[in-house]
Amino acid sequence: MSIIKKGSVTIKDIAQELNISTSTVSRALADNPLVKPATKAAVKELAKKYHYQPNFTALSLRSNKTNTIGIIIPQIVHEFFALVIRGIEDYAYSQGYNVIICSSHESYEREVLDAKALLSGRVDGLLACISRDTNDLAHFIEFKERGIPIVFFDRTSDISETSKVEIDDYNAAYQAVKHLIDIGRKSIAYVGGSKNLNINKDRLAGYSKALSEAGLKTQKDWIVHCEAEDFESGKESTTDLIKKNEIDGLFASTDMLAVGAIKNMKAQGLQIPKDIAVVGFSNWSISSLYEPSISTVDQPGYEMGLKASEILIRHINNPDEKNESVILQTELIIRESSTLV
Amino acid sequence: MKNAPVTIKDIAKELEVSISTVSRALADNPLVKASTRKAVQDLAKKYNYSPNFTALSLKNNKTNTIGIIIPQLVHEFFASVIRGIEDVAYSQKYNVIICSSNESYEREVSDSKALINGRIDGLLACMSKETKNYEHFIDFTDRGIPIVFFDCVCKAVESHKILIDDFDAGYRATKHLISQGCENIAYLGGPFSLQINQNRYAGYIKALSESGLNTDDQWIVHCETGSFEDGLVSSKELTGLDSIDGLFAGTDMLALSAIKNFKAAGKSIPRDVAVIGFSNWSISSLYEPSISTVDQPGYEMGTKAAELLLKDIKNPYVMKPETHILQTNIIVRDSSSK
Repeated sequence: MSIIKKGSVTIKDIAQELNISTSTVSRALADNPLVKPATKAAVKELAKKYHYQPNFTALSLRSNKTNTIGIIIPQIVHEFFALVIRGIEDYAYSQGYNVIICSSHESYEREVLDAKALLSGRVDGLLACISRDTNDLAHFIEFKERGIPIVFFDRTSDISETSKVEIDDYNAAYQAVKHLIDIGRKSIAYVGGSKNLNINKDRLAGYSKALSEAGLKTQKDWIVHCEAEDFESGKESTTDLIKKNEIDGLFASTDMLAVGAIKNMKAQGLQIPKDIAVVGFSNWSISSLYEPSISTVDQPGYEMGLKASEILIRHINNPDEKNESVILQTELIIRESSTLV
Repeated sequence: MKNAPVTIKDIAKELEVSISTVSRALADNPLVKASTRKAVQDLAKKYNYSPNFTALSLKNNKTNTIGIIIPQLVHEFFASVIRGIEDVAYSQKYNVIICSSNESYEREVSDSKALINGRIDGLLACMSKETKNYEHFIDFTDRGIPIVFFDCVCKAVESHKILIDDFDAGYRATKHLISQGCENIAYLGGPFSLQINQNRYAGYIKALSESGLNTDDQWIVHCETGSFEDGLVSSKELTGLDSIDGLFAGTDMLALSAIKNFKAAGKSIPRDVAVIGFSNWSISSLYEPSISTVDQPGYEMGTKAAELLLKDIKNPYVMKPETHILQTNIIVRDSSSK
């Protein structure tokens, strides 16, 4: 066996070199006591020398399990998603599963490609948060049709009969706006992300509920929807609103949008929170590092990840497992941007 | 029909044609009658037939997927690298799957196994801070799966490496402070066990000695993690010193923590102390004062790494390890403009 190719040694090669049967090699590698210790040691040594490794793909074709979970997320640089992934990984690793991640970059097309890659890689289950662009869900339905369970988290879809883990965005927004009302604000604006996403529809509904309950009115141009949820969008989309000088409170559906709006307020010479009190959403690190520090809604991302992977692994182990819908609550964190001194 | 994946056999049986006819019909082969082709394709669609990719890949040994192992997910620099990798990969019809090691050696090893089992065609890796043993990487090259390392590279593995010129970046950041009139410049850096931090520090020393400036033991702090919280505690003493008029920080988070401490000590930035950070994270442009920093070419690092990897995947026999060192840009903002 002088011309062994790297990485492609089979049980046969080892058997031949040691002049024993392939089943003896196989047993020796599995540490079967039926094989003499001396033979076992010889087999293992040779296997190590030639970097023998069982062909996992062939194995997985037989057992049909890869012990790998796939995740599709819309954005990689996102402190909330990172927490969710941390939760997913911690639970999955503890159960002997590995995790691979694909990001759709908020693009429907890439989401479809990612789904195909994960199907080809034969993941045992999928955890997905849909992209902002996605309206057609056929690529997700394909998983279900092949018997691969899906659990949606955060941004869920309307596909019936899948498990979901969501945040109570409606109540979170309601609490945030109610807090602004409680400190005496009467003219409160809403700056939100893409209208296409259910989470934003829910946040807007929570905002409206808090206002109407308190008998407060809003105005059409106090409600701003942005395509993206970043700083630049927050800044551009609120320039006119802030210049009008009509509002004394602002609820933003992301912390980055809140920072963008605050920059406009500062540029207008307005003081925060004296002139306008602000509450953001997500508790990204910038909200505590910025000056003034920004009040925000803390989402239980880690808990969401734990819960989603726990449900998924239950579905993997038992295809008859009933679907579950979990709704997690948030916590309002009050900081300088809405604290009157 | 059963819920399990439909095979070519099932379709052949139902239509009473041969398996090879089904296979040809699915490939739209004109040798098959148009009406048969249509019947096969309709049935395949009805039953959601999809070729068994794993079986296929066993045959042609390619999955058209590349794997990435990175140490941290919430990291704007890595995010630009990933963006660069993905843009090149998708344009050449490759998919990308990512595993994060969370800076843990154990997870890096288990990620490597998952990617080998998933039969990726190539690996792009940035090592975790903890990694001192490299066998899990050598496992890839032993199987003929090429690796390209980026940023935190592994010298023990024969592969392409893409690095940032951290020495030059540290040198130029410090030179910039000197050009603003700073004479007593402090250094607040990340974990000194990492090569990148040793290089940034060496660049700082070089710039000082070249200008005939001195430093002081008190002015040099190496943090354990490089995080904001770490910086807040570690820079407490340093930021109370009246003797310094400039600070070079090894990360933007460290720069920010020092600025908060300077402000608390009643110092004005940049008037009393000019500060420059490293990495160009978004907070450095959003904070007030905006923070001068070193912009690393993350996207370019990603595209370069992916290009080299795909070249090796396509021509496995001509691999010659290359090392590329990318240059950085100094971005001057309010925190250092005297």
